[in-house]
Amino acid sequence: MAFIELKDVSYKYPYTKDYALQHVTCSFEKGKFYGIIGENGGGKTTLCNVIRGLIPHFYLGKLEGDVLVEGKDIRDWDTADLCSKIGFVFQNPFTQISGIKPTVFEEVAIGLENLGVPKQEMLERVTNVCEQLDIGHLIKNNPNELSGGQRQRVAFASIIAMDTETLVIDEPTSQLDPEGTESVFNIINTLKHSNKTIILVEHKIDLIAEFCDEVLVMENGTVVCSGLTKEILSQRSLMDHNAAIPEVAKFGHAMADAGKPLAEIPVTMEEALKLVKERSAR
Amino acid sequence: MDKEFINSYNDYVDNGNAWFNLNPLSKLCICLCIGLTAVVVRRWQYGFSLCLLYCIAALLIGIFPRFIKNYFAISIILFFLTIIVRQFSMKEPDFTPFINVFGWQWYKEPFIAALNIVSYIMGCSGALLIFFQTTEMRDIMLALENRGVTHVASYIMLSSMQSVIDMRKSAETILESQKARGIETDGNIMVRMKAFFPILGPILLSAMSGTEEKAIAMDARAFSHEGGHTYLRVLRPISKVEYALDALAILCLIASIVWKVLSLTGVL
Amino acid sequence: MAIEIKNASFRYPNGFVALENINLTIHEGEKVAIVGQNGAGKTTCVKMMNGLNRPFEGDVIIDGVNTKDVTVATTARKVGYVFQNPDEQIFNNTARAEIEFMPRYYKLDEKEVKERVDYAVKICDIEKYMDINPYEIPYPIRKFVAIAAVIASRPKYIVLDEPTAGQDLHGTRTLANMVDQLTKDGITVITITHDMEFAVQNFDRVIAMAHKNIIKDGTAQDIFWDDQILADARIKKPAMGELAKQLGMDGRILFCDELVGRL
Repeated sequence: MAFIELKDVSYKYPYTKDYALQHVTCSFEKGKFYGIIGENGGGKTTLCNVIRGLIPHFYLGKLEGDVLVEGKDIRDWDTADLCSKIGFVFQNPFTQISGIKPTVFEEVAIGLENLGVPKQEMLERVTNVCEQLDIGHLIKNNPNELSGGQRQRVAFASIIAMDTETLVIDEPTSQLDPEGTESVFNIINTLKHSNKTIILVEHKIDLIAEFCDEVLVMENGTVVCSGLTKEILSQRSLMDHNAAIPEVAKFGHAMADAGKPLAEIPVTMEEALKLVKERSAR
Repeated sequence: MDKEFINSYNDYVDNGNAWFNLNPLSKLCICLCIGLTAVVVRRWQYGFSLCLLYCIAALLIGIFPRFIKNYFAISIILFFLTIIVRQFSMKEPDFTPFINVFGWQWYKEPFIAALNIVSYIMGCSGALLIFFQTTEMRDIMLALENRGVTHVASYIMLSSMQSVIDMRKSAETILESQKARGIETDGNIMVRMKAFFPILGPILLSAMSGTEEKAIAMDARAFSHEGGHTYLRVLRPISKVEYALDALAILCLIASIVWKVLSLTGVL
Repeated sequence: MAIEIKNASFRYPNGFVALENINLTIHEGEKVAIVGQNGAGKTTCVKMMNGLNRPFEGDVIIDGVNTKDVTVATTARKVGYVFQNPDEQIFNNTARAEIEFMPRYYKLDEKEVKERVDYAVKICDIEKYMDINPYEIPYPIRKFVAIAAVIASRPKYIVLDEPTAGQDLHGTRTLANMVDQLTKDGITVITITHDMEFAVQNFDRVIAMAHKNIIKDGTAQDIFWDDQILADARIKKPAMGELAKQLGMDGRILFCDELVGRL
């Protein structure tokens, strides 16, 4: 059964003319890894806000259609209950730090304090998460003095510590350097093997190709196409929708254009390598 | 990972010594009551004795260097300002001549009046200085939360303190970027002012634009969750000795008020 | 006419040495990408070019003028620097006011102001955001507002710090066109980037930095086919290069059509 379901959802932010989402219908199943790609301003973040319940609970404006989380309408969910179901990490590493805790360890514990988790359990969970995300060496540091990449890892740790079934991750690396990006990729890799439902918005298309089970492409407030990662990312027409495709997919198309087609269009380096070798062997 | 550090959260908050570890609210009660006695009494003999007492206390608590640094600065400014202002503002024909400073005649009455004022401000501020130098804001808020103040109020208080630090940082970067664009920021005061005004806007705006995102981030951490709230750091429960100290401090304050009333009505 | 960095070292006020004995000359009309891991000194280095950082040893000379002899603002007129984070730079209420700010600061006449603003706005493709408060413009597009504001002040050299971060396909294409157009119009473009595809596709000269120094300065092939340099600078080979390498091909391939042609 779909964990989150959107049926013909449209949304308009307050004081704006245009709809940020227009007739979006899609669903997210438990345990799968979803990628959302597409142009900036295309509605990716708004979609996250709907899934996360920030629309309609935090942002006013006009929400039409049905959004169901576990079969229950999003409007009927209590925001506090929702945040223990769906975790949320977004781009800006600086605004995700509370600013009120002098150590990373305490920062990571905030969510658990708010949820009223008993202290012994809290200590264990925070310790485990810090170990898992490789920030053990930072636990005594002041989170307000960390680099962007380190802060983003702390933000992930704070949310993962809350152990939500679903994680919505909105462009986690767009403001990070390669090192920070790599460490966030490692976290996402860990999450992939944790049976959580993950919804990831990301421009780095190679990351999407590697991790996601399914991909949704957004443009101008609508989902222009969605489906299995390989099927979607191998379509050259994606670029007409202002969405990038992997370099290796471009290469696959270029080979076909030159009259030297590969057996199929690759989307990861591994696939490309295999397909080229197969072709040479033929 | 630093196991010792993690295990330290198993114990009550330990800030160093017995004074540091007093519950912030009882510490505040003690400091405030003692400080207020100086305001009530308003005698320089009493006020300055208190100052001496604070210095000894600071020595015992182990904060003497930073205490005296701030305290000395306040006292010097206050001392000269008040004494000079008083010499100018109080003028009666029957004042007793006191000393002559390079041909400028000082009188005794305004001098004593000034001393009384300085002593009560010093007597009060010294106690508060000790309090704030030995108590972390987050401990105060934690103690208040234990007394029923919501964690939202506590968050607002603590995060606004952090945002002042953040704003200073962003002012530096924004000023640098103005330079990088070719706006003159070096030179005389006019040039500096002209460069400074345009950046006030973005500093405030960037602080504000972060607020919405911060609210979302905190919401994701179950900030609006009602019901049981637990704490990673737990303050020591208030001991009987602490209550006794509080009571003693309050008694001192009451005694000083009684003394003042009696002396004003002429009984003493 | 050139940017010349001669035996320059830089130390922060807290004593941290960020660059050691850098030598670099960038001539007018070049397209230069600077790559390398964080902490390698990339930003510190470009901030020396526009005078924000002054070397404590050595010299930085812009078109014959030593940055030590003039104010930052004077150097900045020649070398424009676009900060990585647009929020540190933008301070006007509308994108238009922001972009007009420097031309007006230089007291140019209306016609000249309009001409410069139109040029910058067209090149950055932000016409439809002109009358909006910059804080309501999406972050990636705000970056273009910051770039346009620097272009409008018409420096001879323009330094971009991580322009591609967070950009979508359209944004990346706009940046690529911008680099071409600016170069054609006689403005030298220098960029710091973590996007190796962007560096390979658009820049003739690539400088790899690591350990507070320049470890290699050459063509894209020189950098991206030197595995030792890639390891030291902690950067990745672009996809086509990686594919060619794993297929065991020689010829230092970096581009798609090269690879297709050879297969």
